[in-house]
Amino acid sequence: MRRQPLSVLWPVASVLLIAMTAPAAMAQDTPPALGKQVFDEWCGICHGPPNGASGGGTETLAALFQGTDIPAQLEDRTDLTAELVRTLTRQGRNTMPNFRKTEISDSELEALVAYLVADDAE
Amino acid sequence: MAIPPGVTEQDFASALQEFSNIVGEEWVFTDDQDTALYKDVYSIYQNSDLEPEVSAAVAPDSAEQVQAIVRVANRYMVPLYPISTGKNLGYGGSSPILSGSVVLDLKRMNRILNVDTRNHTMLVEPGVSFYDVFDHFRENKLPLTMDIPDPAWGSPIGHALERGFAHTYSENGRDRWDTVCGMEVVLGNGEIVRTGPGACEGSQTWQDQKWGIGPYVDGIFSQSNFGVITKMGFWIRPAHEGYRSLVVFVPNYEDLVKMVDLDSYLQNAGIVNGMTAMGSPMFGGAFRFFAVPPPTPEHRRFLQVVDNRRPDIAPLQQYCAENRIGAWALELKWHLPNQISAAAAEYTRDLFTREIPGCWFGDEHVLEFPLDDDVISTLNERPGAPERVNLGIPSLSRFGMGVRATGQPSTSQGHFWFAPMVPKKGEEMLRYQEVMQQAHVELGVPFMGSFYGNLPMYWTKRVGVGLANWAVSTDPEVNRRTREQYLAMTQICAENGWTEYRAPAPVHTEIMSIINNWNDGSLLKLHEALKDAVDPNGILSAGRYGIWPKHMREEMRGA
Repeated sequence: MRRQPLSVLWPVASVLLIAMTAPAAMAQDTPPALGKQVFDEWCGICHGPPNGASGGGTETLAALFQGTDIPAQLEDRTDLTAELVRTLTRQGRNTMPNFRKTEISDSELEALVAYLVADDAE
Repeated sequence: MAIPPGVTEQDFASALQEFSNIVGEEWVFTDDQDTALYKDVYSIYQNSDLEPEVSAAVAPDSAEQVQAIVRVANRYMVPLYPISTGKNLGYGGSSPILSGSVVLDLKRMNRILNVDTRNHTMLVEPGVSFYDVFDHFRENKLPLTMDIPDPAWGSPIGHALERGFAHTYSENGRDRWDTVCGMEVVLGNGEIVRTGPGACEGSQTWQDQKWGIGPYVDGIFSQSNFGVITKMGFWIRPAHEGYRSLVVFVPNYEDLVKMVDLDSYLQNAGIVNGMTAMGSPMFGGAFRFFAVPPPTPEHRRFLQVVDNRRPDIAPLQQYCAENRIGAWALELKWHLPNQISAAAAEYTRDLFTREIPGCWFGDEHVLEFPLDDDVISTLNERPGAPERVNLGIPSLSRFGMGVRATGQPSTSQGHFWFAPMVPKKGEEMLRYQEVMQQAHVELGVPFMGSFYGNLPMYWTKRVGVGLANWAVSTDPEVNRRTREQYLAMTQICAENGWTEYRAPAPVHTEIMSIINNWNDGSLLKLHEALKDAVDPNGILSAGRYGIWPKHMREEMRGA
């Protein structure tokens, strides 16, 4: 018998579909799980624990903040502001590219802000 | 808001309205802040008037929507620039070449449409990334793997269309185009076609056989601008059962020729099926691959380059003989069940021992599959240890070069790669080193590490790819010089018979003319004849790989 397609719409698409149907909520209204999901998909591959497979974001910040008490990993930071997260996501910096709205939608970006920004850093 | 060249404001507004009707208003981007997201973040034109502007972006969700958009674009003569994931960083990113183009952003088309676990094929859309493929295999426990480039956030389709390379299998693996099997294309004139057996309604072999009946046309859609690929089939691989690597060290400078020939024999006979890495510990290069320490200060004294010439061989070789430092090293990899690779490695040791007296071997690295997360976390960690990209595991480690890190306090604005193909013959590899050493010095191009220590990369079995890289600057004058140096290096290499396998978009037009000079550039004329046939209005990706629409040719490349 001829093989059957395993699926015509895999979970790959589901992340974006969830985001597309989500309201453009303010940061505090977005589900934390989505922010973590966005971080893991787009940010963690460079800004996660340094593991030899990273694109070098954590190593870069470790060098930049050497001699300070600012942590190199973004998830450990308590000083990130919403504006900084939005600006760096959309504009990039140095070799870090920016991310388009077809990659990280506005509502996903707000979820990311909610995940990374401490309440008192807004 | 920018307007596409030659299009009236009224016509552009009408086209945008029709694009909105096709994809929905939320997927047409016209605000300056939104269109700025499509600029090449590694652009050598940054902060200058040469930076291409993006007039708008439109993001369809299906092949039918792509077809409708291309038809509207033809009606209003609006230039489109399709991107898949837009992460072709270092080669132009998501930016068009022709300023004022509308970017056709295919990222939303991110479906893995079919995976055949029995015949090891898949069919995907352009927005699918290598991370997506890897996650899909893992989450669905599919016993499959795919060659992955670094960076892994690119798309298999974009990678194939750029004819990029990956890091694992020698056949139907590292050379991405070699793995393509069947595609669906919206031509520049709005027609949609399926290639190979897929041209038959209800084909049962679209992803199983590359050629159907009649002319094989798939290749014309790579490194070109004749169509928008909306689906592409790939040959993929059964998941690893085992992995083995072995490093061979040879003692003498002259041994390079024999070492390279033996590797070609092993590769082309199918005895070794992984990517070869070569370099020279003696000349201080590529120590990470081979798990040898970097040169000591004493060793470095022999490595001084004086008068732009290779260091004296005799004293250097004597020092290396006394300290058991290989003149050259070759890393061989097997992606086979370990029982089989053990026999192949034993055969390989015998072959080298017989053919190159005095050679010796490093430790073998052997991995059992499936790898657990603890093992994966050790990959890339130690010199000589397997890298994730060698095993089809996504990574950005190699791409991360240029970032600020300990020991490298400054950071660049991006990469700009030069990559000529060099014949896989030891004599020619040495000649390449001599020519490029001269070229780097004369043109003032920064070196990538120890020049005489590095050899080309062997992504393909029969040709090496040499590498030079420029750091992109915020200073337009530095970038202007980079571009000049790049073109001068292209000319020098072309005069030696070495041509690039791929190039950054900002130099496409010039290098296509420099390289394709045989018979008065007759190949370029064929490209243009094809362009005029399938995209008569020149709607798609104007200027990509030097192919301009008929009405712009004289202005853009003086033709």
